[in-house]
Amino acid sequence: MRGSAAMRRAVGRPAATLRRLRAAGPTRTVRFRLTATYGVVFLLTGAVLLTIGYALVRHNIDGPADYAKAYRHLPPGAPPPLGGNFGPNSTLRSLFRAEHQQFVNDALHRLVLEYALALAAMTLISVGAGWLLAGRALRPLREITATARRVSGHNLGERIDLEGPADELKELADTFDGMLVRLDSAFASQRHFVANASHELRTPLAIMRTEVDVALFDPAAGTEELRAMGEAVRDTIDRCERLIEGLLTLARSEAAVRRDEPADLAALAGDCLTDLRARAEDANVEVRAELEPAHASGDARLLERLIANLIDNGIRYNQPGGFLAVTTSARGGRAMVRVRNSGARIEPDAAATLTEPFRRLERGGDGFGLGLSIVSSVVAAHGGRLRIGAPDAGGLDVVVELPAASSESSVRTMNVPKGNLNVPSALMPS
Amino acid sequence: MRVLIAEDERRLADAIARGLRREGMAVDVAPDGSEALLKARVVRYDVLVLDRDLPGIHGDLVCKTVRGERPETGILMLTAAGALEDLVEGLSLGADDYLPKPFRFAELVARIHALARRAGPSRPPVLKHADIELDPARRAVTRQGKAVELARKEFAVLEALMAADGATVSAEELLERVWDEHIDPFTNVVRMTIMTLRRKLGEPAVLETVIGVGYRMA
Repeated sequence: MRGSAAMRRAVGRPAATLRRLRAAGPTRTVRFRLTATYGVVFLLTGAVLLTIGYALVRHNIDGPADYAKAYRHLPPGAPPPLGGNFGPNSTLRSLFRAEHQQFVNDALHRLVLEYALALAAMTLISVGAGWLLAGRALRPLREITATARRVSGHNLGERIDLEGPADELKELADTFDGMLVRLDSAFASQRHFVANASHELRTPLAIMRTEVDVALFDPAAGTEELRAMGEAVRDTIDRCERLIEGLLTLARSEAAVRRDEPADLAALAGDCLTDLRARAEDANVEVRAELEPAHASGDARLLERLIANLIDNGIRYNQPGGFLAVTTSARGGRAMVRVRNSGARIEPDAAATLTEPFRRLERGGDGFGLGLSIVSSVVAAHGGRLRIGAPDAGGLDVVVELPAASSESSVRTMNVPKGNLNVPSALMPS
Repeated sequence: MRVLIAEDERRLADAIARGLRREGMAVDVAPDGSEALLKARVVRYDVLVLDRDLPGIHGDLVCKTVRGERPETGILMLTAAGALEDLVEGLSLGADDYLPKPFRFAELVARIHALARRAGPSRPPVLKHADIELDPARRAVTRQGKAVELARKEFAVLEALMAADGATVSAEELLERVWDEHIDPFTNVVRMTIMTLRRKLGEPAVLETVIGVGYRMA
């Protein structure tokens, strides 16, 4: 009962428990237990060894004494000392035997005492040595503990960097270091994300605030001016809505995918191309599509958003007279969608960072830099792979591979207009 | 007063510029760091309103460079990052003031006025010359205790002349300090404004023409 009450208290106030543990330090240390175990084991094996030794000594010393044999070393013909009568029942013999027995008993008794003393002394010495050795062996653990204690959310740069042989403790320290590296980068990207998100959210607020303030500051502001202010505020709200929509999609896609709907990437790509056709025409970008059935499964809305983002990027960061090529295919148990577009040349290093939230190659556009982050996290949530290539000719070459769906039962019908998109009719799923 | 707004959010820059112009300031806008630096090197601005997160040349570098080359220009840093460390860092880069976004426009105006006062030789918040009083913060002018209604540019010209405290100010300098970069340098707008000012301030005349040099308060 007392134990469970203590446990309830500990569960109820984990922070307080943690503080107490930290302040007191461990009382039943591993060092103590190692030493105690070592001492007990030494004591037991020592005792067994000495018992065996004692038994052997006793056995050997107490063999059937044949005193007649003592005479065999005498020169032949010499008279036996102490007279000749040494028969089995002679007085002399029983005297000898009693004396001998007494001597053996005394010796064994002394031996037991001496063994006990030696065992006690050696146990003490071995306990001392064990204490030192255990401390030495556990020193890396203390280093690891000290580092772990120093590390906090703001201070993840610490590493243990344990020197020494490649043993279990070194492995533990290295594993811990690896975990710190991952934590550090996770925290850094978290901070980066928060800083960027707050920047992106504050800027439209600042715009609206300034527009409203400036308009209201002038008591003589006319309808015209107030109307212009209202329009500016409405535009800015639109921008906020798009940003929040993007952030929510990103958050949704980062949660593990719970749906398992069948989705044909070709059909989704066809839908997206249809929706974005007008944009492509405005931008004077030629759209090429080769859409073979590619069945994946997951959250169809997120997958559609993935493809829409890729196509939208392909149009947005293109050049007049350029092209946008969308390919879907199924190969070796994987459903693939590939979007290539022409455009300005992008450094491969810069291309690799495009999946970071709020990363834009150039500012001033109306994007927020969330498109490829959403793509990346949708792909990850579906257990797929994303490759972003930056061809020397310019533009981007993005390949998304998703695990193919096992069943091809449900195929969405495609509604790609044949006139504007170069979709070979042979490739259209029936 | 001549102000440069270095801000990449076009809409925000325009709104600030519109508001400041209505306050009688001459406002130029630079959409990126390199243009901000270029303009700050050509024109002697009283105040630079600098967004820290500028494309091209980063706002921090613009701040340091302008601080080095134009010690008289007051720098007001704007930023979306409002944490204490950002404030300390911004001020340590040489900024004179720091305003996190979103800000109240009235506060921005007040801080710009304060900076302009601090940037030049120290001057009182309300300028006085004979029986004329000019309050830049309230944008009010009185003569013998009676309010004088002045247009924005007239007010700014009078402020520049009163701030010079009797020294002669050339027409070019008035043009630079009161009108923005879109003004035609060969215009006679300064002369026209001085004429209107004289008429509005009435007798006895306080604005004196120093022939071939400029104007001063007598």
